[in-house]
Amino acid sequence: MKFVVEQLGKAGERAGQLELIAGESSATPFPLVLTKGGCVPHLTKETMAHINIDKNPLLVPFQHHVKQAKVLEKWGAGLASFLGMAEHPVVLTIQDPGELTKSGYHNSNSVSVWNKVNRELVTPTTFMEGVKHIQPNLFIALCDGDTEPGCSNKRVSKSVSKSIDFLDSCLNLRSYTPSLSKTGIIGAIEGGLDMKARTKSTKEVVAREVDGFLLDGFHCNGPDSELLQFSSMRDVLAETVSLLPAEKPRFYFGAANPAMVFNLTKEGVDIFDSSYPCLVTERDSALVFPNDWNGDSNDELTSPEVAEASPPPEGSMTQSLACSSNRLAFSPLVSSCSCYTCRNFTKAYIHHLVMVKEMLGRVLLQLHNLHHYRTFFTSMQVAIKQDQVEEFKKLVLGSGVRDSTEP
Amino acid sequence: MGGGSGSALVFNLVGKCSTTRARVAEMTLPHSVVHTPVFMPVGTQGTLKGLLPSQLEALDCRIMLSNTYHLGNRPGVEVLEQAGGLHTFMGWSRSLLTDSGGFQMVSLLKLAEITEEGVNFESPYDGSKCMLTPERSIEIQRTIGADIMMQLDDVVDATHSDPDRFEEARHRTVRWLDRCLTAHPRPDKQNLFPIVQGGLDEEKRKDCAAQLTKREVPGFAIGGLSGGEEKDIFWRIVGVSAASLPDSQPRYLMGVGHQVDLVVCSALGVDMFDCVFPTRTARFGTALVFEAPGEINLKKAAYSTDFSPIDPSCTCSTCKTYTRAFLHTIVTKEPSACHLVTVHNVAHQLRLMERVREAIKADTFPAFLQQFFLEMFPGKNYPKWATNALESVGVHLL
Ligand SMILES: [Zn+2]
Ligand SMILES: [Zn+2]
Repeated sequence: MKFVVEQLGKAGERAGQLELIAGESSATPFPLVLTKGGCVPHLTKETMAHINIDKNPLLVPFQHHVKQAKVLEKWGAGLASFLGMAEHPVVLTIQDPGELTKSGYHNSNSVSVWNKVNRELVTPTTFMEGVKHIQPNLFIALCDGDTEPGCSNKRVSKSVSKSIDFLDSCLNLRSYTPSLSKTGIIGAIEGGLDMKARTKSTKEVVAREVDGFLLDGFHCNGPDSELLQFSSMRDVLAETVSLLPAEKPRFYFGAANPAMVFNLTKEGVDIFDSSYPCLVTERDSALVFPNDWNGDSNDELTSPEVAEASPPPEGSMTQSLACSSNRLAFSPLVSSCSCYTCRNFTKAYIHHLVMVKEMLGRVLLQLHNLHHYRTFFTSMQVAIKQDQVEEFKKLVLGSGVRDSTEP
Repeated sequence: MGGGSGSALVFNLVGKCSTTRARVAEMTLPHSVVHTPVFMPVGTQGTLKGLLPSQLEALDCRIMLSNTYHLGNRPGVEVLEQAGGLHTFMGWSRSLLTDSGGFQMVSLLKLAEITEEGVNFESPYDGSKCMLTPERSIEIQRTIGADIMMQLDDVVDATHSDPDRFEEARHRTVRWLDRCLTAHPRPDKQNLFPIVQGGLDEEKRKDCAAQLTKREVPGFAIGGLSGGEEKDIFWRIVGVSAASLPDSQPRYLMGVGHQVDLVVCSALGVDMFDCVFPTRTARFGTALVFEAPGEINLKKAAYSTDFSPIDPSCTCSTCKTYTRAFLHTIVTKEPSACHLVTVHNVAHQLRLMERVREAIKADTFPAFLQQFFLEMFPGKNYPKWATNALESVGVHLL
């Protein structure tokens, strides 16, 4: 794995390049394509070809593959090719950021993951055995991020110490596995919203031989992760990031809506995942916020700088296709969108599919939403390079932009 | 050649089996040329189970089915009218065939009551009383814009026991055909097929066909079958119905489409088939294959380390990319699995029909049938009805 920061924005945003496979790099910030059970939800190789993400790095949650070590050992060529996506680099994480992680299943030497209905206990040994057969390009060391807002101090400190122990075990086990000698490892920084615990976790992880950092433990994944208030995590996050070496990439997983992406990139986060557009698809909704920034905009935006972005009013960022106002809307989801769905189908048709619960509805929404979210990040890269993130933010969040510390 | 100038259908026979009654034709419809015998996948509500229209085109699917009853409810006629028809609405540029809505109404709605005027039913949405008349059915199908429409027929389950009811249905079907023909404003743009009825009585089937063939229509459907009747009676009725219809026009056997049915009924002279089975069964992880017993259930533990595709000889996008072992991990769990198996199953049925057509054109269809049955039934435990049906057209299984 290679990572370079090419440009630092005014407020701390970073534009860079992440290279997971030699010669194939992805511009950052960008979202990893989240898979569920080995699929990009609702899509197949054939339909994914329509959104031009054929070489995009995937985010594969270990929880969906916890029972597949034996099959993958027989297969022998790694998980990506088993999934029919051999050309995609793979980043392996533990829990699916798009699915609620059930809280409270603790055990001092393992992490609980849910494989559809069964709980499975994952120890560093079983995890590294899985990693060996999954053959990711990069993996998050086994960690315990079960520190939802409001949990006890004891839980927080346990999560920190467990995760450090697990990281050491993973590093150690990797050193005995020659096939993983080139596989990058990311250390998870835990500590919930507790400044002291965060600081401790950060210092410990930074002291180890890791290739990057996951800012973990702020939420319990799934739809609720979108509701996370940035103001509640800002101070802890800023302190954490200030302790990180600049040359290594920073990951944040969970449903990051545009406001959250602006806030996190400003703190120097480089890599996200696509759980947000996937959740929007599951709600039968489409992303409709302005996402295009080519840098030529002459808008003289003179309103005062905003310290922090908060989501604009409900409904202006996403649109529900279940809404009957779409019944006779023979226009695309977003008229300026160049995605396959928008070029070929109308809101009225997708509304019909949603109303009769036909599977194609979510296929079309997913194609659009992934495209839309990707395009948003491409614009973000441009905006950072041109030092126009503030302007881009105003375009995206519109009049909804205000300091969330206001009442 | 069937049809002529001013017709929306040209049926051009290009090959005939010298032993059986099977034939190959090129059927030109307003939206595409269809090679028969053809299998038509069913896209009930203006979509085929999660597949993009472009995926069906990639499989060289030229015609699909949609259901008038469902589309009439949702999205409804107003939406379809404003969209400019179903082709535009769903982004499908090739041919569409619609049923009349009558069959679904009778089978789905317990309260449907048939009178001379039409099918009386209670709306499943607001409980109001509605009436589907022959005229109304044509009106909805006109709005949909199907290349081939079906007349509203008086549907009686083939296993029904009252002979008088069949008699009534047969005569009413002819009367309703005349009302449909009168209501059908543009025979040069859309085709209207009458439906041969007559229950399980060979004489009544012949008589019904004789009545229908007196009308000027571009093709015929054979209805009232695949409702659970004895297979040995089923094939006899298909055979008699097909034989009573003119050679120069297409014959469509409604609702039939399992692999064995497809090859046997092709031998009996049927040109068009439809069936929900290949797409419906995909949801449960069942994939169609040419080996016995014609399908595999990918959920079975045996496939967990089977790294071969569903069918190594299949060229569909699923078989080119995915193994049985991977599919085993996602079937019945991830929506993508349903799409993948559906693609294969549709590809499989289309390929089966392509093989049928190639064999008929090369006049090797009897040998094809023998080989097909041997692969499906390696123990030669052929179903008796299929043996009988094929014997009737001069083919003896090995
Ligand atoms: Zn779009
Ligand atoms: Zn296939």
